[in-house]
Amino acid sequence: MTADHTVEVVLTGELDIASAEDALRRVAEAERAAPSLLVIDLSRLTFVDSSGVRVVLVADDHARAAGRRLAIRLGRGPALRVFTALGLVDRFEVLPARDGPAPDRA
Amino acid sequence: MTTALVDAVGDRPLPLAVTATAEHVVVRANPAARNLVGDVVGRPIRAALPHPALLAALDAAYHRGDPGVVPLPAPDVVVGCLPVADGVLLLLAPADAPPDLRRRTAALHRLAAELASAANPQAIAFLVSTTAARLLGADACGVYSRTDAGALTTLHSSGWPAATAGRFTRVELRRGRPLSDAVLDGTPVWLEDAAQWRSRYPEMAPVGTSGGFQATACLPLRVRDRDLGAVVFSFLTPRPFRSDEREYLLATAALCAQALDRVRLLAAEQAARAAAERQLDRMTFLARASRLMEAPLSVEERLQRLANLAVPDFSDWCAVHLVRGDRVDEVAVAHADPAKVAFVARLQERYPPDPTAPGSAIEVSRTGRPAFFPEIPDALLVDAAVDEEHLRLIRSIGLRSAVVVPLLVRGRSLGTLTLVHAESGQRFDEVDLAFTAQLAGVAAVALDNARLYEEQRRIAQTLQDALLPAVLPDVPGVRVAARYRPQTDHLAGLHVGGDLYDVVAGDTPGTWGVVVADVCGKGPEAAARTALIRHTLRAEVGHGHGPAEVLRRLNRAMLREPGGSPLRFATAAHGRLHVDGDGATVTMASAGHPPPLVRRGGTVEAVTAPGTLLGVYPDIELTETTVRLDRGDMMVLYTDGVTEARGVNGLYGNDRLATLVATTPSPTADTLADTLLADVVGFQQGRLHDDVALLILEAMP
Repeated sequence: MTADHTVEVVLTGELDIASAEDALRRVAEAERAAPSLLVIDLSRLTFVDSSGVRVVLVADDHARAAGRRLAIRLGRGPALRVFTALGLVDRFEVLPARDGPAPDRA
Repeated sequence: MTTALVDAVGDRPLPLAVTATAEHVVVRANPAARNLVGDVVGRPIRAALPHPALLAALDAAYHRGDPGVVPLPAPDVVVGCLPVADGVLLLLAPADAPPDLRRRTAALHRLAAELASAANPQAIAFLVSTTAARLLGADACGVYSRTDAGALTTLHSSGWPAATAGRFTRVELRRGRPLSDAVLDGTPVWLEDAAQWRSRYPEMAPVGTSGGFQATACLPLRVRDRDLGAVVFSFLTPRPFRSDEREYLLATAALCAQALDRVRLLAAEQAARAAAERQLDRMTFLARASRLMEAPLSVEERLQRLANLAVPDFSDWCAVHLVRGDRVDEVAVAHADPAKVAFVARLQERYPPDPTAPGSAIEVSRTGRPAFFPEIPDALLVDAAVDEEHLRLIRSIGLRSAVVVPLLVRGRSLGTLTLVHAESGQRFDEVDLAFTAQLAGVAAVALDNARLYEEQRRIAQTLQDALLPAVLPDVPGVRVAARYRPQTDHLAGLHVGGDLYDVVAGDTPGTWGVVVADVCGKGPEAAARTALIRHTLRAEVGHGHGPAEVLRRLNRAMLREPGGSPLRFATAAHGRLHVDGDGATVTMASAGHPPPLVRRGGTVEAVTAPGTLLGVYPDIELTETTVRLDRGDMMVLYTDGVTEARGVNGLYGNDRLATLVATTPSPTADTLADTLLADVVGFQQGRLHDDVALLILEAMP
């Protein structure tokens, strides 16, 4: 999946208010590489809450300003559940999880 | 001194040598000694006398100040090792020495042993002026210590007429007197008979020879550069003070000087150790006090514990006063005996303290200047007493010494710390004053922090109160219950939550707006956004818009707000409630918010109305769903602080919430709210990771 101008940030463990700052720092690092496509992989998270969603919303904000593509991987676990609940799934380019099929977007 | 001693003895019969350094290098030896052991000056003694027992005795004398006697086989001598100022004085008694010489040498050894174990200057002086004087055949003896630059003080004397002894209790050092000359020059003065007294010291001769005294030896007591005083031996018969007698007298003086220096060093060392221990105690105490000041207790409890910590090790009494507005209150008082604390409390009730009394806690609190009473004279109590009875009572406390220091922070006095010595009879000194000031500093900073913390907590509380309705309106036909519990912080109480619930009257009778919202983030910005949501909703509900339209308008209001960013999005579940005679109909819209649950009897269904979160996108997608609440049905609105709660058993989750709502037996809105809150708090062992808000509507059964 990774092309020359693609940078992917893989987040693991729990993404909540405690770890959101760290995740934001990692995304900011990836942004400094000025990729044409930034991918944030949320599919391996064991927990994600609304403060974790902030990370993606901020990255999206930056991507629009920089004219860059942002894509996310949600998998079928907590990330998909939270993004669905917040009405956000349709607002992002969602890529299939690396070790599984694309999420059901029905 | 010992060098002078060996010089003085010259080539007289008693063989003497002096060693110095830990190697016991022979620095002097008189001819008699050289005849016995050869010329060893400049070399370690073991070169001449390689006997382990002798070296051990020399070590004991040099390092520990213990005298010893060692008989040697070859040459056949008995060696006395006597600690003296610069090293060790060796008295070498040949086996074939005359009995008289052997006897005197042995007596000197015994004296050295007794001096080495004497505990204080008085005991040393007593030994010298009795035992030593008898050995030397002296009829009178006085031992004097150099107490200050210009005078000597008698430590002990015996044998002189009372008038003479009385005159020498304290001796001003003045040139032209034998004792003064000996001390000031550091050399012995020998007066062999009354004629020498008269010719050399005519002014002092009447005193020196009164009572029939003839000869006098004034011997300075010195160890290195330390001038310790002098010893005087007087004789009723003329003495020629030949070399052998001088040797003996000087050796005795050297032993006396050594012993005095030893106890002086010991006393200094003990004082230094005691001071160091007191300092260590103070440091330990300060550390404990600092930790205490961080304890999660009220200010008063902390100060009371601080006071308890101070008694009885640092003072008999300890009290803390705090400035409160225009009053100064005693907030803590401690004494090892609670009965005394009670006694003083009754006393102060009967005789309230005079706020203007100088040095009182009240006065020090106001002025910020410490008051120090090293001694509390009775006159002070007399002045302070209102009447005889008062005086009797305050005298009974037995006040001795007191320190009152202000609790200062940034130049402001918050109160005072008072330490008082009473029945222990101790006195505070300057070091205690400085220590008390340090302790007051610890207490003052802790107090200041507590005050700032209290102020922040109050601001947070005020903000929080503004974000949630103080009371929910009375909705006819519907019971409403709400619960809110903020996230558990280690700075509990400083947190302003982003959860919101509200119930607002609509534009027509029987219609109401209900909302539960959750603003992402914490702190003042989240609080401002929460306030915006609350007030916008109230206004839009009042205009009669449906729930999806209200949320759209809210979204636009949030996007218009300057400083809007994806960091501050919000979710909200908003319903328009229409109450009728048989229950209520609710039209719900949700902006990314967890779906409300409806309980009908024992079943539960989620009211899903998919929608986009608020505050990020100008075009949000919202749907409306209508549900009916018949009599006894309930609707539960909540924030994700419930369903996303994590405990040791993992995620709380939708299912657990739905099951609990369904299975709670015959609840009312209130009891269900209590049950749900208790369950989610218990699930997290009482530590909430996020705010929890619940709003429950119950169609009246």
